[in-house]
Amino acid sequence: MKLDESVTLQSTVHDEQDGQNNLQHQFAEYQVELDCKNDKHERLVKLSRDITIASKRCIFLLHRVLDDPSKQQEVLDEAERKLDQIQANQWSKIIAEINSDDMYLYARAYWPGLEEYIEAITYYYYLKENRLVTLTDLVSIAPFPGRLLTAYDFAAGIADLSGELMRLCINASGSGEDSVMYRICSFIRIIYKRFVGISKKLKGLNKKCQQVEQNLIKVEKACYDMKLRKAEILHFS
Amino acid sequence: MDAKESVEAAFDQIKLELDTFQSVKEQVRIAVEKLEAISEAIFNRLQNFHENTTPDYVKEICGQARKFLPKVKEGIFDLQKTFPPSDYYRYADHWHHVMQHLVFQCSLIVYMEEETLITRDQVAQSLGVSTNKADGFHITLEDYLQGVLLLPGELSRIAVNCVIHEDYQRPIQIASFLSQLNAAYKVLNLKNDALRRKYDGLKYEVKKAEGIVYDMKIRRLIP
Repeated sequence: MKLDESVTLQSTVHDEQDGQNNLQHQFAEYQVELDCKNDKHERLVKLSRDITIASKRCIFLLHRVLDDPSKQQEVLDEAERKLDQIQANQWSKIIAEINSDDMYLYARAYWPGLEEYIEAITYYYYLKENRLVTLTDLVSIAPFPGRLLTAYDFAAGIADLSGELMRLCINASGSGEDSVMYRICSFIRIIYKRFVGISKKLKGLNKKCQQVEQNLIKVEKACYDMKLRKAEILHFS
Repeated sequence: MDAKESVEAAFDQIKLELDTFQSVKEQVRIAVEKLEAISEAIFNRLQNFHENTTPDYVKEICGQARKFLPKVKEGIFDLQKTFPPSDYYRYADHWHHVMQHLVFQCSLIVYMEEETLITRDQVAQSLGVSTNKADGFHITLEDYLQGVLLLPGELSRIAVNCVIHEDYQRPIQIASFLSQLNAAYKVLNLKNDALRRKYDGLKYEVKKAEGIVYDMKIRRLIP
């Protein structure tokens, strides 16, 4: 083997080694960056799960609002406390993890909790003030989730709200509270009417719209039964 | 505001935001389509590596492909203008595909020129973007890593065609490079996502390239 050849061979081996080390070094940096991002995603998923659980408990509490007329304000006050707690304990941590730029990057992590929370807070405000809160209301009432909320999420939350109101309505029929039932019926009817108008705008809204329709049909049937029952009682008393 | 009024107000806001979102998405889609056309033109040029891999020819093809890069930069600049800078990740799903292909094409050019892997910073420079979300439109790490994973398939095919046009040296280098690339990707902790699935394909390309080198050795086409 000529001297030139051996030198060439050796430098080729060195180049290859350098190339390999350089590549490994580059990818070690990428690994750190990916790990960081995945860890953050996991932390957000855990917080989102806590929000879901706490919001569901708040909704269960609100369902008891008609059980005892004297305790109504108490129930509402406790629900408000629960909602504030979720703000303080979970939403503040989520906002600390992400800044507004990364809001959509991590949306899949916290979106389930967000939907459940919106359901709880809209339900609370319906019972308290007999109205639907708007997107701008939410930004001032609950700035942390409010700022994260997209129109789609909010619409999905309203669809879920119609489900909870349907449950409330059916419960009310058990205790003969017909005025509440008719009020809920009108409310869901307007929601449904407007929902149809937006159902074609994004994938997923169509399905939510069908859910609202089903809830409305159940409520209308319950009101119909209640009307007939009251008429029977009048007629036969 | 009574119940009815509040529902109307809420849905007025929702409708407005959804309509705005729709129209921005449409603008993004159009801009991405333009980028895809440029990417296809580059891809077209680079396919010539399968015909001929002599150094002068490679230099010529790379030169032709590089001529498109200013158009790419322009296209990305136009894309950037279609949405508010803070909403990058809101619309990012629209351009993952074309960005990954542009990463792949840049990495193929650099590989054929220098036999190394293009770095993320070099890709960013070629495309006229940043690597940092704070600096606006940027190339994400995932798009870079997934884009690079389009390279092994192309290189193993080039290796096959090298044998056909009697360039017996390049497949050896390709096999070595792919094995280095595989070792580099092993360093990452991947989740069960699209990146992981793409990475799973890499080992088959490594095997294929090694198979080509073996085929040449046993027929004494190489020492």
